[in-house]
Amino acid sequence: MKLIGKDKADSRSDLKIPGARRADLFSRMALKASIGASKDFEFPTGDPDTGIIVTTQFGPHATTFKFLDGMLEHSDTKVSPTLFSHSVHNAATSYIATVLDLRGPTLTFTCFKEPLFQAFALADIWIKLKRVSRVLLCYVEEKSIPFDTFHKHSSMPSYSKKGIKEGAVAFLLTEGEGFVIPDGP
Amino acid sequence: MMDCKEAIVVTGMGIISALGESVFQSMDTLANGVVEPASPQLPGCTIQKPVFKARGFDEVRGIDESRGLYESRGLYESPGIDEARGLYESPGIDEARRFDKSGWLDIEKQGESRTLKLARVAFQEAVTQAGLSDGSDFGIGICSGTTVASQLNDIDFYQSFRENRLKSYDAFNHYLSGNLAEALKDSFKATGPAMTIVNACSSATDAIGVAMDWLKAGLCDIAVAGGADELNRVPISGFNALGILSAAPCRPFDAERNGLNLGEGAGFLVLETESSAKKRRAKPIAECCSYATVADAYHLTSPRPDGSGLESAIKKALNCAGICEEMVGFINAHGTGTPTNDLIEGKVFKKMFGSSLDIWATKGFTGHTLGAAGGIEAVLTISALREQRLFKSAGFATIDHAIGICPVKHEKQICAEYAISTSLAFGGMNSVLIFRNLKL
Repeated sequence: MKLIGKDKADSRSDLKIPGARRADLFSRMALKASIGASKDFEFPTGDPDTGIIVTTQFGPHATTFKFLDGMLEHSDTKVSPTLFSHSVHNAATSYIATVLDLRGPTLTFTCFKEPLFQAFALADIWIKLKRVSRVLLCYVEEKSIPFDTFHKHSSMPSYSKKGIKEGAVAFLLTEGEGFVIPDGP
Repeated sequence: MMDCKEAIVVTGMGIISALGESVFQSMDTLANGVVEPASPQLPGCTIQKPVFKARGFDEVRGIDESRGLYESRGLYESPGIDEARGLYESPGIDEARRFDKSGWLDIEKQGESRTLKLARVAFQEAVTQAGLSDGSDFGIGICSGTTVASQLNDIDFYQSFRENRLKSYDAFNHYLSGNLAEALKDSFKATGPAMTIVNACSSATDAIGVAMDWLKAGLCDIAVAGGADELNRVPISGFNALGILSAAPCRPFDAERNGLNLGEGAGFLVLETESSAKKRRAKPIAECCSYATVADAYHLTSPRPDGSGLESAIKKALNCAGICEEMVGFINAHGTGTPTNDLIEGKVFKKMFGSSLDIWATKGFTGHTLGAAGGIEAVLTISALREQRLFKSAGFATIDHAIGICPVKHEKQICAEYAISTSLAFGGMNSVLIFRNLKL
């Protein structure tokens, strides 16, 4: 693979993005990094030849907790449909596709073991199988007070007691040489 | 360019849903039974709109001490019993009977999510039929779709945290150890890649597609792919808030349809290259010909009104399979029963295939099982191809002239070599699988 562009974003970035006014922090960080990674490449209108892969370990859990807050504070019948739709893991992917008008394959996946490595491996396969010519790959995580607390008490040795690092990183990849996938776990 | 010419075949299938807890039982229910949704009966859930609970799952949970097996009635009746239909040959069933209890099948494991337990039931049936006792002998990848299992949405746990009375963090630890693909990989001792796809309602279809790509790229020899999801208070509240839950049994493609019913279950396929199946002497059930997925790039919760994303996905899948529209025998539609989904999907079908192609909608039997739907429907599509018959599309009675298609209303014999299964998802995903009947 060859790297065309890369960028990162976090909660301190300027996250006012046209077309994403209602998006939550998780989606906006992913979108901001993806736009930055693509800034030097002009996608064709309605590009069917760029795929999107978004990976995350924990997804938009802060939004999920806000949705649960609504269930607990009001009732099951008085919750926000907007919060629910943004709590779905592939909301960020949908925003990236819509704002950049990319109509290729899109995939969101979770795994706790080496998500970024797995995403690069899949991007490489998509390009080599000619499923697409380019892949916009994004890894995104967000922080929340509940998750930080849970992490501190987690019995899983592989998880840092410091909690999750927040932010998004994106890579625009294409066929070619020069970008070597690091060894997996 | 990788060599991707070799056929990908299906050598095992497993399913649990409101239709039953095995392929055999599910087909039996389709042919003879009626499935009525009921109120959720979930603790704390105040929404009483009908749902489809997995049949037999809560009642039949025993481990047979003599065999150390999860005792699933349909699973051990199914292999080869119906010679007339020529179905359900299972090269591995004798080996499967010799599993011991120390294995990986204990669905009573404390703290595991219901979704993971449902997945284990279907996964077990699939690998058993494929003749795989565990994953250590082959490079086996696991790719599973889900929605619920990817979120920490244990309401009691979260409420205790909010009220500063949390005594145990077990729920969080179970969440960390409950990533669907990773948990199945660990317990099956698989050595290939593991990935949990969270593409909302197309997750399982996309999981099967990713597994096909892994096989074509040589990342693993065999892949077990599908999806699982449980009925849960959180999506019930969320879908209710979106205004798309029906208060009555759903009616896919019907003129009077007014929403979907949620369901639960799991469906998995064992996929491998033809050469791997030959080497293992595993009997292929069907060919998994092609997969395509296209983003609408339109809106977070609404599909593109002209259906061009779905149309493009179907065209790509047909092209990849090397077939034309006329060669498709039937389509197992996503068919949720919502006004918008069925209108867009049905209009695309009519535009591409005319109004005479058999369209089959199964969610009137299973409900919308979200991240499991594509896996369950893949199993049903292959089973219908194998049996060369389709069953009624439960809930459909009256044609919607705005759509102009009439799904299958009564059981019928077919002569179909290829079948399509479609999955449309929240976020604007359009995913398509094409299967081929190897008997024709």
